[in-house]
Amino acid sequence: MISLANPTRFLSLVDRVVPWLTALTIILLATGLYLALFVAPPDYQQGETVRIMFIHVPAAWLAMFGYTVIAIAALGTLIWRHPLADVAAKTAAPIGATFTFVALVTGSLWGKPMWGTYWVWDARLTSMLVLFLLYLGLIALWQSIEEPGRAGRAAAILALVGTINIPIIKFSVDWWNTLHQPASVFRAGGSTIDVSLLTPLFVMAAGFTALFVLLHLIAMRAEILRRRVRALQQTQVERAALAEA
Amino acid sequence: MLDLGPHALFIVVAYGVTFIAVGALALTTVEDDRQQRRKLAELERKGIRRRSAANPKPAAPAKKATAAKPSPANAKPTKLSPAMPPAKRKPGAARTRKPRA
Repeated sequence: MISLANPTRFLSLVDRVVPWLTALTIILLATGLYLALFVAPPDYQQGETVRIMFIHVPAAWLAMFGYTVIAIAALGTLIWRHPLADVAAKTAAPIGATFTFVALVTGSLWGKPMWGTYWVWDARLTSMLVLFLLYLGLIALWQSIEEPGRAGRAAAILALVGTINIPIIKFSVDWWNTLHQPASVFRAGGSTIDVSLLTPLFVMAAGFTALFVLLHLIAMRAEILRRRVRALQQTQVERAALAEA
Repeated sequence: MLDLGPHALFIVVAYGVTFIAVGALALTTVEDDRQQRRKLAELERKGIRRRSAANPKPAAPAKKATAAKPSPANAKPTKLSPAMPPAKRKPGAARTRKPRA
């Protein structure tokens, strides 16, 4: 693990992993979509709208996973001041924001036929919206400070403060009386979902997770290269100034 | 043809929005990666390289040098300077701070 903390070694690992991970992601997503759209039966209560769950639930899981990655990376930035930790946090934000957006929109589209409304200000939905706003805030913070080190430290503090929202999202359905249903996949006593619906859900979740990791690795590679380009451009300017003097 | 029942529109829009959002994310990520590679290649073509890329040095002889000619730097090795002067470190290692255990 420590050897991978070297950006050059990390880049070489990414170059080797990306083609395999791309193939795995395509296979998992194609299988998941086939199972979700053509194999899974309609739910006895939700009917065909249960098919929205196969994208909504994995997107919501990855929305929280993405923020957890940022929070762990923020610790790496603040405690060890490791440049890769900052890179990991910065590049996870747009991916996490996209999955949060997907979770909010697909949940809303499921809510209209099932609950009779697109949106209610209940604890689960509101805390997910807060997560989306946190992602946007982090992205804006990284964009507004030019020096990557300073931006990384400021964003790390904001990210750690926002971590409080993750358990709130997870336990909101237990702590408060919400319209959103309680946990039905990972719960004490086992899942309440039939295996015919659980299988496509897990395959889609695996596909979404592989996609998240793949995009995160590519984005991290791009960010490391961006910082190298920036450093080289500064060198170029300094050399030009020296030549003029 | 897939029969999605009376709420077909909601299902199609949900999948459509997901496809567009995730597809746009994937495209912008891959394009950004390509763009940074192009910029780096352009700078290297102009002869502007990172120190480690411009002067690759083998790291192997470090131990021998320590034994042959002890210096104050290697007399008391620390975690961050393990008995090797900074100039002879492996490419890429000089800027990386070792995380604490």
